[in-house]
Amino acid sequence: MANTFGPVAGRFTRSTADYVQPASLARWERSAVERLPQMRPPRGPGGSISGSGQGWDDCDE
Amino acid sequence: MSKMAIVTLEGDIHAYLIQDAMARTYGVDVAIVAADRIPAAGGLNWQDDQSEPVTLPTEDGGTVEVSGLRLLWWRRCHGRPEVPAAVCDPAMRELVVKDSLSALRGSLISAFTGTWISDPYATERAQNKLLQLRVARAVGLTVPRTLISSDPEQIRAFAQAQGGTVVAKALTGLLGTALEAGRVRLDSLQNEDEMRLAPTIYQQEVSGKDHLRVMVFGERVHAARIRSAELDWRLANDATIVPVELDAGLQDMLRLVLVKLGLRMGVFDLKITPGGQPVFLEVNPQGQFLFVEGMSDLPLTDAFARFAADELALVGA
Repeated sequence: MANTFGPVAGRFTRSTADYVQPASLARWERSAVERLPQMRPPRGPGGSISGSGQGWDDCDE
Repeated sequence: MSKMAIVTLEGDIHAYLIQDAMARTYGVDVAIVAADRIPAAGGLNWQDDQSEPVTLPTEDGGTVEVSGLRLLWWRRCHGRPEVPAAVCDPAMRELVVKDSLSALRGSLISAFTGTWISDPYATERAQNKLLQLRVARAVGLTVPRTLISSDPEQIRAFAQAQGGTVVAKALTGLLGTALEAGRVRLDSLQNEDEMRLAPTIYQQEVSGKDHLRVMVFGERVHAARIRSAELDWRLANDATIVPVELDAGLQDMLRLVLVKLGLRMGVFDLKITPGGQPVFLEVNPQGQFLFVEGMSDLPLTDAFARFAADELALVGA
């Protein structure tokens, strides 16, 4: 069931639908993945900005 | 034997690149311990009489001896640990996760005698935004006028005093969800149940398009200017990044924030006013930084590897 209200800060959940990864970052990530066999392409929108294969991970612990 | 380990989540691009740089440049073997893959991995051992080595499972399927480690990059210890589907009971799944993380932390805090980047308890404490803002102000950094409140009257009065519009932010992050800072106008602050539900950060807006992402690794400061018209540059399609040099006074203040928070590294977010004044927004004890290298050629992989090698030398490894 959808929440009828939430914390004020919760209004600002960002959609990643329109995000286009900068070409320079995409090149850099591709180069790292090609060089290191254990590495997989970052899965989340934003790649190494978002950080985690589990999705957005700008938070620390 | 590994002298350095990185505790992080599985598939961490930062961990792989630093592991590679440490091996190539300094001949240091780095073990990666995936905190979210401790359940079902096996390989974790600890005994009270220290008759057997304390070991942790590594991401590559092996184990690492904690006694051989001299440097530990405590990068991530959260995430959503993967529990085998055969464990159906929700309480049992929760227990698997909690016990796995407790044993990981315990193995390290009881048996690791080297240098932490950074101490787990200092890291946890330093993530608190209220403490960060107090410390930043105390060392002389400019911080935006800030209210953290769940009191509708106080919130409206603060917004009024800031000209009717403030920036609202969450106090913490949410793994898997991109929470951003957003503008709130006085006339939208009507739902008192919503305002009372959870304290929120309300802040004076810092105008302008120039942001700073500043990586402080030990004593060294590496800074980049991010130009974006968005309030929150993460995932902004207009963001451009260039390396910049900060003045010595600002560098000293950022180093002092880390000292006061007990951290060996920190990734700062600041914004530059149109008049050129840097304003502190937050410090991420283990923030992402390699995207800055990818978008600006600032050599942060090498910078972090050098920092880690220097820390190893200091601890006598």
